[in-house]
Amino acid sequence: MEAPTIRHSQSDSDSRIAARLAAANGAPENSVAQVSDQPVVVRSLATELKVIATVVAVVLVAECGLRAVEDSVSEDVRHLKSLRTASQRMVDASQNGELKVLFLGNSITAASIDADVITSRLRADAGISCSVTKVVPDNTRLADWAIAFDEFFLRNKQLPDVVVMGFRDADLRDEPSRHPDRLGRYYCDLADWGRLANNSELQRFTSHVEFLMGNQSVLFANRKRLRTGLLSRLLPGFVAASRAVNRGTMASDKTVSRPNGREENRYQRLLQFHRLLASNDVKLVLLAIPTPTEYALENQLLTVVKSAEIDLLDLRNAAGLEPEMFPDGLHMGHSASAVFSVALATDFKNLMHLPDQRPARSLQGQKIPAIAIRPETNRQ
Amino acid sequence: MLFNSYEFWAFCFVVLVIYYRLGHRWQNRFLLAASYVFYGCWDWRFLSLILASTVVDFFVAQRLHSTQLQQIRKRWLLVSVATNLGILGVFKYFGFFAAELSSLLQTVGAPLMLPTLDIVLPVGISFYTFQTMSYTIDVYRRQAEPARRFDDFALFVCFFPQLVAGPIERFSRLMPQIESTRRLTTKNFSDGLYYILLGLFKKVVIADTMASIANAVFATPAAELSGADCLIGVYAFALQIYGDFSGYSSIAQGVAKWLGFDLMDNFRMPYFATTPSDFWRRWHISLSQWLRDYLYIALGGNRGGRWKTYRNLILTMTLGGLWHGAGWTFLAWGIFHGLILCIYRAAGLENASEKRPTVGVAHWIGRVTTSLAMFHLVCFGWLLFRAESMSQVVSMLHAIATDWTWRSINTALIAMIAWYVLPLLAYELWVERRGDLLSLQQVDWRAKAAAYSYCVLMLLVFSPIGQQEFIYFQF
Repeated sequence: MEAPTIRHSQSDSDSRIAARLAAANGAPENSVAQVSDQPVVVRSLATELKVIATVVAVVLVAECGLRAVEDSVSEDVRHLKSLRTASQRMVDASQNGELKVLFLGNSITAASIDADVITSRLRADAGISCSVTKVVPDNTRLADWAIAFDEFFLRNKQLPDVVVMGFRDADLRDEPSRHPDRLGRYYCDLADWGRLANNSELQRFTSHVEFLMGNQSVLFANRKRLRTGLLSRLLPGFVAASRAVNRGTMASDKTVSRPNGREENRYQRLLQFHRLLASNDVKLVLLAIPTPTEYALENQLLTVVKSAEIDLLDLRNAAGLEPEMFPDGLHMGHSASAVFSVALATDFKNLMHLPDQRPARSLQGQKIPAIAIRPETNRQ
Repeated sequence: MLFNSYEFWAFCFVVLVIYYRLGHRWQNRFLLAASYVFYGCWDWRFLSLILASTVVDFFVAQRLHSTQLQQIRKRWLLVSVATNLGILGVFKYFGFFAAELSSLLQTVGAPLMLPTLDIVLPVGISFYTFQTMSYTIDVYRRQAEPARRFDDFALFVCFFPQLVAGPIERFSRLMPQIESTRRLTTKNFSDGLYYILLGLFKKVVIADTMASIANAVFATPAAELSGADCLIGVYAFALQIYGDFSGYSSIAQGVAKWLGFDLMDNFRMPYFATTPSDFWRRWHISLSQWLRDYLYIALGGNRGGRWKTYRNLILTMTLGGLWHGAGWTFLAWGIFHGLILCIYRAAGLENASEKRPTVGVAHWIGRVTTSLAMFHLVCFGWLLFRAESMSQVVSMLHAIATDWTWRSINTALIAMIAWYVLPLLAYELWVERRGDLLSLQQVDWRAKAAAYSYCVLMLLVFSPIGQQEFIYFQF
C-alpha cells in the first residue's frame, strides 16, 4: 500500500536522480526500474506519455490550423478543391449548347493554355461557342488525370465532348501517381481506396499509407507545398537554388540505369483511358506542349497513337515562341501562352474539322461533327 | 526494407507485438526468423551467404575451443577467415581487381580477358562478415567462449536492427543479451523512442536534404562549378553521410532497445573532434574499434617503434578505406586518413589539447579552431570518398583553389544548409558539453516534448518526398 504514496510524492527530478545514480553505479538498464523501485517506472511512463501527448497535440494544432487556412496554402490547392465542382461547368455548357473542351494536364498545360484566347479564336474563326475547363494540378501525370476524370466527370455523368491532354516528355507513361497523398486528400474518398488498389493505382505499401494519411491529414497531403512555401519565404533565393539543385539531381538520376526504362513502357494506361473515353463518346486529343528544352516523342507512344487512332497535336515547335518567354525555364509566361493558344486554337479547329468563319451558333441538340468524324490527317 | 520506409515500421510493429507474447527461447527463434525475413526482403538468395558464414563460424568456434594444439587452432581460424574474406572478396572486390588487372595487362601489351562477376553487392555483407570474424578471432584468442546454441549464434550474426549497416557488435557484448531474458521497460521504450526519433530526423530531414545538394554538385561537370559550389557540395556531403549513417545507427539502437537489447553507440558528435584519432573515437566507433583490435594491434600497433607505428596506421586505414568499397577513391580516402593520423602523431598534435587552457575564452578559441581544422581535413577526405573518380577530385580541388566566384545561389544554398543543420548542431553542442548522449532523457519533460515536436514537425513537413537508401548499405 506504500507504493502509491511514494509514487505521488516523488518528484520527477527525484526519479531522474535515482535513475542516473543507478546507471552511474553500473546497474544494468533493465534494473534501473528495480533499483529505484517500481514507482519510478510508473512516474517515467507517465512522463513519457505526457511527452507523447504533447507531440500529438502539437501536430493536431498544426493540422487544425492548416485546415483553417487550407485554401491559402497554394493556388494549386484551391484548384484541386475546385475540381469537385468542375463538372458543373459541363452542365452549364450543355445547357448553353457549347462545345465542351476539357484540358487535362499539369502546371505546364496550365501555364500554356489561355482559355479566353482559345474560346474567342474558336468563336471568331469557326463560329463555335465553346466552354474550356482546365484540370491541371501541379506535378501530375496521366495516372492522376485519369483518376480526376473518373472521379469528377465520369461518375457525375457530366462529360466533355473533347478531352485535350497536354503533356511533355514522359507524362503519358505507364506510371502511377507521384502523389498518392494528394489522391487521398483531393481526388478520392476513403471508399475509393480498395478500387484504386485493385486498379493498381496504389502499387506499393508506401502508396497505400500515403493515400490513407493524405486522406486524413491536410498537413501530410500538403507537406511538400508547405516546405517549399515556408522556405521560399524564409530563405531568399531558395526557389532559384532549388531549381539548380533539381537540375543537378536530374543529371545525377540520368547516370543511374533504370530497370523500368523507356524501352519497357507500353502506354497501356493511355490505351485504357482512350477506350474509356471512346465508350462514352468523348474524343481524346493529345497535345505535345513546347518547352525550352527539347524532348522527343517515344516510338512506343507514336505506335500506340497510330494503332489506336488517337489524335495527336504535336506543337513542340509551335511558331513564335522564344526561350525568354519561359520565365522559369519550363513554364510559359503570359505572352507565350497567348501566342501558343492562338496556334492551338487554329490546329484544334483543323483537327476537329470545324467550319471556318461562321457566326456563333448554338450546338444544342446537334451531334458535333468533330466527334462523329475521326480525322485521318494531322496524325503521327 | 529501409528503416525510413513504412514497410519497415509495419514489420517492426508486427514483430514487437508477437515478440512480447513469447517466452525467451521462442523470442530468440522468432527474432531469427524475422531477421531472415528482413534480409530476404532485399534478396532472398543472399541469405545463403549469411547462412554459410554462420554455419562455418559456429562450427569453427567449437573446434577452436575444444582443440588445444595451437597449429590446429590456427588452421581452423584460417578456415573461418578465409570463408568470410572469401565471400567478401568474391562479391565485393573481385570485379574491381579483375577490371584493374585487365586494364594493367592491356597497358603493358598483354591483354587478358579475366572473368567478371556481374552481380549485385549483397547488402550489409561487410558488416556481418566482420562481426562473425571477430567472434572466431575472440574464441581463438580465448577472449570468448563459443556459442552454446546454434540458433542463438545465428541470431547474433543476423540480428535485424544492426544486420545491414551495423554497429558491428562484439560477441561478448551481444550474446549475453541474447541469452538472457528481455522485457520492455519504460526506460527501454523511452530511450528507444529517443533514438528512433533522432535517427529519423538525422536521416530523413538532414541527410536526404543534403543529399540533393551534394548529388547535384557532384553530378555537374567540374568545369561548370565554381570553388564555392564545390565547397558547398563537399560540406553537404559531409553532413549527408553523417546524418545518414549516424541516423541509421541511432534507429538501429532504438529498435534494439524496444526489443530489449542495448547496442553500442556508433557515433559521438564526430565533427567536434580535434584530432584524427579523436575523430575515429567518435566516427563509426564499432568499425574503428574492430580495425584497432583485429588489425592495428595484430600488426604490432605502436609497439615496434615510430616508423612501424606509422606503417601500421597507414596499413590499417588503407584497409579501412577498402572495407568501404572497391575503388581508388576509397583507397585514397583510407591512405589520407592514415597519413593525417601519422602527421598529427609526428607533430605532437594528438596531445596538443592537454597543453591548452582548460577554461576561459582561450580554451574555447583553441577548441573551435582545432575542431574546425579537423572538420576541414575530414571534408577533404569526404571529397575523396564521394568523388566518382580521381580526376573529379583534382578538378574540384582546382576549382576550390582558383575560382572564388560567389553567386547568389551559393548564399541561398548556405542558408538552406544552415536552416536544416544549425538546430542539430546546437543540440549536439549541448550534448557534447554534457558528455551524455542521452542528455535529452534527463531534462524537464516540457523541453523534451518541445524537442520531439520539432523533430516530428520537421519530419512531416521538411523531409524530401520519397525514400532514399542509406549510403552505408552499399558497403
